[in-house]
Amino acid sequence: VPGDPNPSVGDGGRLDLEVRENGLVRLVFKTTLDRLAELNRRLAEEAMFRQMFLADPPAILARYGITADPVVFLRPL
Amino acid sequence: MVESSRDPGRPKVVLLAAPRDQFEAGPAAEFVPRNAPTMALYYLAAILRQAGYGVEAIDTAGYRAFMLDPAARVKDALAVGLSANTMTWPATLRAARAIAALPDRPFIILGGLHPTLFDEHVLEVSGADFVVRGEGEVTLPALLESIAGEGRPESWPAAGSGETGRESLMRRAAAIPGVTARVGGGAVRGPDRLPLSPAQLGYMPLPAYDLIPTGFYATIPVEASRGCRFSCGFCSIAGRRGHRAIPFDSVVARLREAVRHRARSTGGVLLFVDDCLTACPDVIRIAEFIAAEFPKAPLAIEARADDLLQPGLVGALAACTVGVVQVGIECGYKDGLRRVGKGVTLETVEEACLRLRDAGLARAVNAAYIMGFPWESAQEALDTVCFALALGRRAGYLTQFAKWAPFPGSRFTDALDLPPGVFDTLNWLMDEEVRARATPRMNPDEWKTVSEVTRLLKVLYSDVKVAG
Repeated sequence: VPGDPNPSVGDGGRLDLEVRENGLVRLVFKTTLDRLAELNRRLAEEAMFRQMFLADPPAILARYGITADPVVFLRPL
Repeated sequence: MVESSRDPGRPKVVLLAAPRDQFEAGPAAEFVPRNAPTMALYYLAAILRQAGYGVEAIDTAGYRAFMLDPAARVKDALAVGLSANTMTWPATLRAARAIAALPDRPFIILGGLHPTLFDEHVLEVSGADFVVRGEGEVTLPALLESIAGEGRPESWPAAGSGETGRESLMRRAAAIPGVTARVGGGAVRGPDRLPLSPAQLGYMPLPAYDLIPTGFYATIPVEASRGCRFSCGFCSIAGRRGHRAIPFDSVVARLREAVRHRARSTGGVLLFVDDCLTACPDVIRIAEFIAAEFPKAPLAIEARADDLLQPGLVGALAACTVGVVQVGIECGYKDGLRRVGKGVTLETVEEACLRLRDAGLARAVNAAYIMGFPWESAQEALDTVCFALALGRRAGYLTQFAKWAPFPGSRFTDALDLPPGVFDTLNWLMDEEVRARATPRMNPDEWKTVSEVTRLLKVLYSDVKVAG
């Protein structure tokens, strides 16, 4: 929206947003849409990569420019 | 399709419900859903039978066969009544045009939500003669009564002084509350008809379940109320802010009749077609009745989160065999719920979902969320996704995400001022311009962002069930 004082994403392909819910999850995206799509593609197609990801999501996410709060992230129920 | 025995002095009426188009396969290919028959057809069929008319009901299951030879199917019929919502309007329009093109055709009467909203337009583009606006239970028999003695349209008087005899008769019909008639090149609209009262709904005959094709649909529909106490901005149902509960004894009679015909369905599911069953003052009694009389009959209902918190309701539902509880949550952030006008809070939603889980109903819960409301950017849409998945992990429900689509009749859609012709095909659902007007802060890149982040979240929440 022209003149929108709060653009959330899409500035030259750069993602800059935060996703959170009740303190359970907090992800900060400082990446690009293409990088995020690449991460999803690998998660879908590479079983070993997916296992590595699920073993330590914050570490993999960080490689793709996504910060995850390691304390509350995937907190056991 | 079964034609009932009838009063020989009364003509035949064909009632037809078209399927929706399958957009992906092209605008003229129909998708015939097998989940539920069209309730309105069977209500109206029962009422017309009671009035002595012969009735042929053609539900979505019979649409294709009908379109192969419409002339044969409407032969000797006084009228064809076609019921449509916005999704089924394109196929309904094709059927109406096919009937209108017949050399010796019956009257064509349109009804349902979409023709009610756009009566003048649908008459103009379809060649139909009348629209029954709003509920048809009283209006349709009154309209048929006014035209029954006049023969088919082509036999109507062709000339009068000034106005033709046909126009005069159409104007007479248009004076009936709830009717719009095509007169000359335009439309004449009679006064509105008030919605049926709860008592009137209770007096209506039981639906003509015997006309539902056997072995086609998964469910048998049953109704305990109409409308909703609220008026959510995205919602297009009729009867917003006007919930009407059918008297308990009448609901019991309907349930017994529906169960008697359960074998017609493939799944034996009793589908409550109510916009909001849980708003009924008697909902706990209804659940207790079902648990006592039909404990094995699977139920499918819609519920509001706040209603589910009334003491005893979740427990009463848990005593039944509940197959589906559809809970419309819509938004996963406080300001969104306020803008929608849902009348619930995130805390209410959470408590209701956890209460359903604790009662052993988690597997039945479909938690429905919507993304792409008019004010939303990717950030707000993802707030909803994240809330949905996080609560889904705790509550164990099935999560459903949908993009908001500007169906006519809602407050949000009215603000877009879309021309009625947009809805004559289903192209509007994929039309970039319509989508840009509906969700102006979400360009294709924003939607792609929502999609990719959601994909990632689904991996992180792989224990949460997500539909589609």
